[in-house]
Amino acid sequence: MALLEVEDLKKTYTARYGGQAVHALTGVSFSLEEGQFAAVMGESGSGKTTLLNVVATLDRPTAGTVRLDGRDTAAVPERELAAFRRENLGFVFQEFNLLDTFNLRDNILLPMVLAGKSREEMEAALPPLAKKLGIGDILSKYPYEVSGGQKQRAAVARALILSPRLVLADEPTGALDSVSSDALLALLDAVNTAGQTVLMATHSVKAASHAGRVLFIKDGTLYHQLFRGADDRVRFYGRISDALTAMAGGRDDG
Amino acid sequence: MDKRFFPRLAWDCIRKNRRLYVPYLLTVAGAAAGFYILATTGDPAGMADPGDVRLIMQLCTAVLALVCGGFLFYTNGFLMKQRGREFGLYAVLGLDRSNMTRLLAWETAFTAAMGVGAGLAMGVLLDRLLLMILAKLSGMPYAGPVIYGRCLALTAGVFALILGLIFAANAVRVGHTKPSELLIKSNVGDREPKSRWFIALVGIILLGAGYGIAIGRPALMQSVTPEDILWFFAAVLLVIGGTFALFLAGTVTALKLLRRWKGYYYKARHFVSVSGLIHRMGRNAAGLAIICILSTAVLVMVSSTVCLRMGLESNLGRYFIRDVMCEFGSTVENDWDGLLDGALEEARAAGYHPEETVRYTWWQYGWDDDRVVNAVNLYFLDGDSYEAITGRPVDLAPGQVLTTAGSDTLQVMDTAFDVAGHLERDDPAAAYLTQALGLEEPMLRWEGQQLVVAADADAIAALRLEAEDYRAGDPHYSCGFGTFVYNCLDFDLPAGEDTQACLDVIRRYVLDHHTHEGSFADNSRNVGEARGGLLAEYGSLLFLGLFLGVLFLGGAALLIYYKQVSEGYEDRERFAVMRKVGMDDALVRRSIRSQILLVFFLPLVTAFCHTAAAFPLVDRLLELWDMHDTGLFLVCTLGAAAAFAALYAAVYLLTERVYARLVGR
Repeated sequence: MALLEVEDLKKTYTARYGGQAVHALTGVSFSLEEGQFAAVMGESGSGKTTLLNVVATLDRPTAGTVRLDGRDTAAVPERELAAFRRENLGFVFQEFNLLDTFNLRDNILLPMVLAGKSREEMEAALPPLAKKLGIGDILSKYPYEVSGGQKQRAAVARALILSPRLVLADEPTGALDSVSSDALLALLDAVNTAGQTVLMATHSVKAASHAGRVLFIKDGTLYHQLFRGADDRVRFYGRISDALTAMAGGRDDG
Repeated sequence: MDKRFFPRLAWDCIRKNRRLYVPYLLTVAGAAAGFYILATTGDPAGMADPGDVRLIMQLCTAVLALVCGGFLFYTNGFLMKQRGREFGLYAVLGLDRSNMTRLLAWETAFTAAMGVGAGLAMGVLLDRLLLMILAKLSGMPYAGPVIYGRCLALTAGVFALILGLIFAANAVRVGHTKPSELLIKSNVGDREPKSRWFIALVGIILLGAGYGIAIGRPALMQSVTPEDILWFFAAVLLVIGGTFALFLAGTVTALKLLRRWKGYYYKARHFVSVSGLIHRMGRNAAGLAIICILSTAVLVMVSSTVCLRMGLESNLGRYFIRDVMCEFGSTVENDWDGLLDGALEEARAAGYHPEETVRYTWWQYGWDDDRVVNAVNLYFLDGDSYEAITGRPVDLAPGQVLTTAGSDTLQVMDTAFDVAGHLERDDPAAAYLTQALGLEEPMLRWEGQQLVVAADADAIAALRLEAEDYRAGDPHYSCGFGTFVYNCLDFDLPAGEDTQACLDVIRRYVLDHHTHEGSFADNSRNVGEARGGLLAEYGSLLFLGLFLGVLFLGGAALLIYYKQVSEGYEDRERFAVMRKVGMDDALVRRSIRSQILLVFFLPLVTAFCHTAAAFPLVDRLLELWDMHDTGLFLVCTLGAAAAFAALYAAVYLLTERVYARLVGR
């Protein structure tokens, strides 16, 4: 059974004062196996952030189902949602979303504290993870004292600290320079190689070329998808570029 | 350069920074309004009539000026810190130090014009509105619209001075920083405030000194003088300084200690609140200190003025052992027994019902032998009055008396008496006279000043006549002793009968019937008239206390509300992030609550501490207004504290809702 199953997902936003309904997702289906690293690509407004938000249970679908580990996320009661997210999902955001009032250590530990873990568990989980992400020596610093790349690595650490079933990353390289981006992508690669399932929304062909599979979203539907297969990254990069060009051309034709 | 360039630029700066400037302007306006209103109470034309009270209000006004100055300095510090980058940019664009100073000068001028102008308008309106409402509620007369020119000028002057000093500090600050530093500074963001042990220590010392005065001074005071009010205000200033320092430095230090305690800190409930509070305290400490000081002021003023008003009846009881207390003095022969009998008859005829009647007479006489001047005060009580007071009949033969002093014989002028016995220390008759004549009890215990009980009213009358004759014909008349023989008649009236009118009847009778020779003195008093006088005095004090209580409470409530709203906006994003990483709504609510509770109840608890420390000194100061009932003051203080806590909790609950709504969704 797949880890994540998305079936005919629809999401419609209605403006509050009877304006026109916006169809953000008009029927998306795909599934993600455990251990896969998938990228969702598409232009701004194509619906990829909506897709991620619905999978993240931050938003409710209008129709269709999202199943994580076979469990329908729509059936999770409102008051258990936070705990559900904490236990099953890890988040990495474009703007890092680290809290200024915590140093990096406390930012990373936040999900553990919220989950009511003991001090011993925290002491056991944090050092190896921080070391792996290369931020072991800056844990006492505050977010405003470190670089963007370091912030994003701390955010990845926060996403991984509770060993979630699925990591969701929304434009994780969007606010980073190219060196930091490469480092972060290498990190996600490594995390994935260690068995972590990742779903990432991105604009960047380079970022997407790190994934094993790319889903292309256009106008709220799954337009196309590519598997990396045996290709190396450079070749896969080329195929993704071609696909994007075709997609853009398709719009021109339409 | 165009003359209008700097005013325009300054105006633009204010407009572009309105997110920062509007709260600052509101603070200036609120402070100016509060200051004006407080100043009016100390104005010679204002509501604080007696001199002591006016002095107190003027001192309060001075204290408020200091508090406002400190608070505005502090608020301005944040405003300037946030604008560091802006000033850096101007410097990069080529504004030199003198240009920058001109810009700041114009900004200050606009701030003063808008903030103080709005504040004065608010002050005038609020002052009248509050007075009108309070007058309606209390039934006191409302004076109509009054504007105190002197206070307007004072307020404008004080705030011009404060803003001028702030301007000078800003100019120095901007002038001394390099543009590059200014550009970098605001990038730093909201740095975690440092623990400041030194300031915390200074705070503890100031607070200790203030508490020391408030608690230690009363033990050193023999009797209370208006000068002690100055001691009180010295303590107030010390405590205000200590409160500011402790809130600024102590809270951050204490919170950091909490954070170091890992078992406590790494719990979902405390984790978010403690870290949030550490960051917040740097900015909010001064506001919290102000809330604490205002709360203390409300508690002290309301409890003391309510205590005076509530103690009115027991206070009257101390002076009025009977409802009507007549005391007529004359220097020539009169039949006072007959006069007073007639007066009582007249009163009964007029429809009054005197009861519990007590009569006594007293005089002072002296003689001069061998260059030694002797003076004697004697108080005479007849057998019937003794029985009326004590309920015990006296069994005395003619020529026998009971006395309070020690010897076995008593010589009064030319008459010798046989002392048949002595009154005990706790004899009710002695207590009665002590209280009625306002004597101190031990004073009845020596030969020269004693109470004499004779069975026979006639014997006393004879002595009295002798005394008046003695007076009239005495060559030593001029040696400086009291010239009157006083005749006293005390009685109660049933509830509802007018003591003042009854006394008037008696007075008229006595005036009409006594001998119009020599001098005549009338020291009579009645409880009704005194009650009216005290009601006016204590009533106006209570009015003043409630007026300022409402003013300060309103100020504190506004500050609380403003804090909740501004913090709500700040915290909104933080809580949104925490929801995404798995914080559920229940926990959000719980941590919001624990955070707000700590922030809001800290000032309240501190205010209670201050009030408790002020208690001994204020208790003694109340003696200036004839209030000696510590128990009652304690009850009033506890009552005021309970009422204040309830109001505070209501304000807290209301504003908490606003806050929760802001960060909630």
